[in-house]
Amino acid sequence: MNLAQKLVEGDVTAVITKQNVKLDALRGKHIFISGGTGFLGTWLLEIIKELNSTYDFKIRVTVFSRKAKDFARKHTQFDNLDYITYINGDIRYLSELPLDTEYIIHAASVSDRRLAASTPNAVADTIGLGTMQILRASNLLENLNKFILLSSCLIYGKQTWDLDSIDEEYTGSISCDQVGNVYAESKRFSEILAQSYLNEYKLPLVILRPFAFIGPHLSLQLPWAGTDFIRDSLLGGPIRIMGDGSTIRSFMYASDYAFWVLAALANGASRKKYNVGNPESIKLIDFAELIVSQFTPKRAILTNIGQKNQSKSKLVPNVDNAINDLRVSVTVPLTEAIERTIYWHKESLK
Amino acid sequence: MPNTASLTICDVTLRDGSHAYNHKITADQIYAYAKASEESGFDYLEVGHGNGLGASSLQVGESLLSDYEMLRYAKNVLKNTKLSVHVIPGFATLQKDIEPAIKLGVDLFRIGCHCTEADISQKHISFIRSAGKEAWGVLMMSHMASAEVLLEECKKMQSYGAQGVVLMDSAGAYTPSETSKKISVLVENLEIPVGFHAHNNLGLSIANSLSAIETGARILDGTAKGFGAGAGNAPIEIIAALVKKLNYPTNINLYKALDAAELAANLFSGSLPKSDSITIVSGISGVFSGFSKPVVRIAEKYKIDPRDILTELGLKNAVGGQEDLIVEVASVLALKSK
Repeated sequence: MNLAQKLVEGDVTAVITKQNVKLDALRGKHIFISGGTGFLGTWLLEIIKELNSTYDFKIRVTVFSRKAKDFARKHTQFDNLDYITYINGDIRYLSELPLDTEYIIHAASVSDRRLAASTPNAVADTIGLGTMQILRASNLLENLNKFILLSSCLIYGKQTWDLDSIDEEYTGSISCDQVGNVYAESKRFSEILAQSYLNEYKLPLVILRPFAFIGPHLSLQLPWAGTDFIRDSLLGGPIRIMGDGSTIRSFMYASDYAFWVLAALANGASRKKYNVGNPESIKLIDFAELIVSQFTPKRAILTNIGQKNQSKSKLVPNVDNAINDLRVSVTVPLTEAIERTIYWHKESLK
Repeated sequence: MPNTASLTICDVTLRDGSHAYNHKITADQIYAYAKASEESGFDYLEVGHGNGLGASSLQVGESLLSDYEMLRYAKNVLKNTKLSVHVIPGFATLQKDIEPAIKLGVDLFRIGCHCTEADISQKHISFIRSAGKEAWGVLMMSHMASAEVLLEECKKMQSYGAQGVVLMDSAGAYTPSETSKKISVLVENLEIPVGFHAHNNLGLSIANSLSAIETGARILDGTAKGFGAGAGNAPIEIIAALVKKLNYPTNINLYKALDAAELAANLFSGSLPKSDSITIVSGISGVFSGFSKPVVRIAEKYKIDPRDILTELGLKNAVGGQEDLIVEVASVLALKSK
């Protein structure tokens, strides 16, 4: 086993132990994960693998994705696990689910903002129509216990500067005539669609609204702050920040993210919605400093290279609902999360 | 009162000037001018075929030197000034052109495309950013789109990871008020720095450049003595003087910049741009400046007025890369004139 995979397995062991949350509702159950080959999907499989091998959970998983078979070929850590079934398919054309499906995590989406910029129609289609298709198919199941809809923190719109964090009742404004908001608006549509199924058909719905994450398996090709900073540092730097670095974000480590999703799947109350993320906020400049401190020689940080009228923004979750209802916590502090993410990427590049 | 907004000045003499020199710039010229550009303190020096990496061809003109040779000669000279290249997806491919340029030490890749086709820049911008290099987006022929459309396209490039975006007035068709209007929309709505690349067909390259920075642009392109396609670009030595007068913080050594311009006048004597009826009609027709030389050549062959070809190309909204259209237009005009 290579050191990168060893780190992930260590993270999985640690998160199950440290979270100390009962997931027994999932024992012997069949979970269907749409979009199960992305960052979150990979981590869900890593944790389920551990739950089955060490804790004898006997969970069965169906992974549905456009790249499911490719994923299976590339991720050899899941070789010969007969409880995982891979189905290649496009969520927009999903018509039926395995009849014995008991839990669903609907994570299929197009979250890459480059694609949202180039093909906004495809984003609306995949998120909107995709959600509609899986809801219709879910409605035909006899033993569905829980439907997790992976929404997004972007449905809240802009967080006002005076708020330290935003809870699940926050409503900011989003302009529906700006195509750049297609992802957020599509996610809002998917939420109201799912709420309609709850209302009409009593779908056992739990909505999760993820914020920002770092960790192994998160592609550094994605042009987000966390991935940009780490990738540029790995390649010798510098880190470039368009504004003065006063923008505020929060970053949760991958293993905590995936565990929180499983905790919501096992124990989330139907009709509830939960923010998922690290409630500890950090300025982008401080985040960049934490990253460059991991490298020798220390990478440069360039600020104010964008237009001078940069507006600072803030996006930090209040996760009291998740902590109180699901009994979850943040087990990997940000500094450690950064260390582990960089270590994993360095080892993966070898 | 000093101006607090710093400016990035890009010297594109050895790239845009390639158009004016039939793409035959020599190793000695690159070496000598790159040295002068470095001493002038310009932030970037752009080098290569006029249409960018991988563009040398029968259709748009063959370079005397390969991309690799041109970039290597320049890179050997540059220390503080960063080396940049112009990249048009289609001419330049990731493996054949961009990977070798990255290995050679090119610092900045400016990914250009027609002003309404930012989508085609995604793969290139992503690839370059993934390699840890700087990538900007460049919208060419930007006079052909409204401010709103340009903003949409720039936002795409920003989403792809571009760290700057430049509006090119490829036809020298802008006026100062149009420059101000378009740049201000970008400046107000983009996070990344905005730039302007002028051409001088209507004698407004410096006026337009000034309008751009006064509206908030943070990047300006220029060439020594305006050495560039068609009527040439904004003379970088005048930009250097202007930003000094206006107290913009830059790294420029004005006297060295003026010396570099004199050097360019010697190095490229006989090919420096001049205003004539072709460049003026090109400007008012909104036709890519790089078309001027082939238009004159083809007009002579078909025995028609080159200004008629330019006017017709303007009506057809011809864009860079459609050089084949010149012959088509010329042949139709020739038939009509019989």
